[in-house]
Amino acid sequence: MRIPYTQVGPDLFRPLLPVIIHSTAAAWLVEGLLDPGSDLTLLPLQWAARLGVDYQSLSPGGAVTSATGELVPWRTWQLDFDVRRDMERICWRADVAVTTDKITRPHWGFKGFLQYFRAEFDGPNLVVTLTPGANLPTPTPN
Amino acid sequence: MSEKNGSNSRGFDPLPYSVTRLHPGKHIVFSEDEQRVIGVGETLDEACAQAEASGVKGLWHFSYGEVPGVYNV
Repeated sequence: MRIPYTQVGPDLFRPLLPVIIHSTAAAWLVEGLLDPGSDLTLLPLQWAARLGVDYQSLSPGGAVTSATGELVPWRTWQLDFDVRRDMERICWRADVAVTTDKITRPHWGFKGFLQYFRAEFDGPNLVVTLTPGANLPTPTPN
Repeated sequence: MSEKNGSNSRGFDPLPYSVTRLHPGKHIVFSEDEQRVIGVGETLDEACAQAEASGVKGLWHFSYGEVPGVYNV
């Protein structure tokens, strides 16, 4: 699966990937940043709340450090990911870290996302190639 | 699960810069069914409220217009 970098500004490109997130309340196509520098897969609370999550009912997970150095608490939510590109569909269920709104954008980080793929970030050609690993969790069809 | 050539395998791209550049600093809701922006707001809730008011159902695509000169670290 090849994911071209997306232009987000003048001479600025990022590896963004839209993922269908299935919850009991809705299915949304949410753009997130493929981020090998993030230990966790992060979904800001504003998205999670709209998808029907009661933050206080989630299991406390710990804290992450934001880009500005603030400690941001997170709680664990399990949800279904659905990636569709290049006539290929990849689905899995994983834990994500629901963060308070000091984190403003979804990050597809290591735990819950990149841990399941061999990822090649090709800067010169502005493309990421994701290859599913044998550890990709059992399918969760929707 | 990884499957190829399935009937539900239509790919989805991020919203193009030609769209996001029009809404710097804003959350954007785009209808995949109607291929148009149906909500824009300073917050996700504002963008969703506009999208809901549009009456458009189907798959909503959430994006964000970056502010020129602001970089991620």
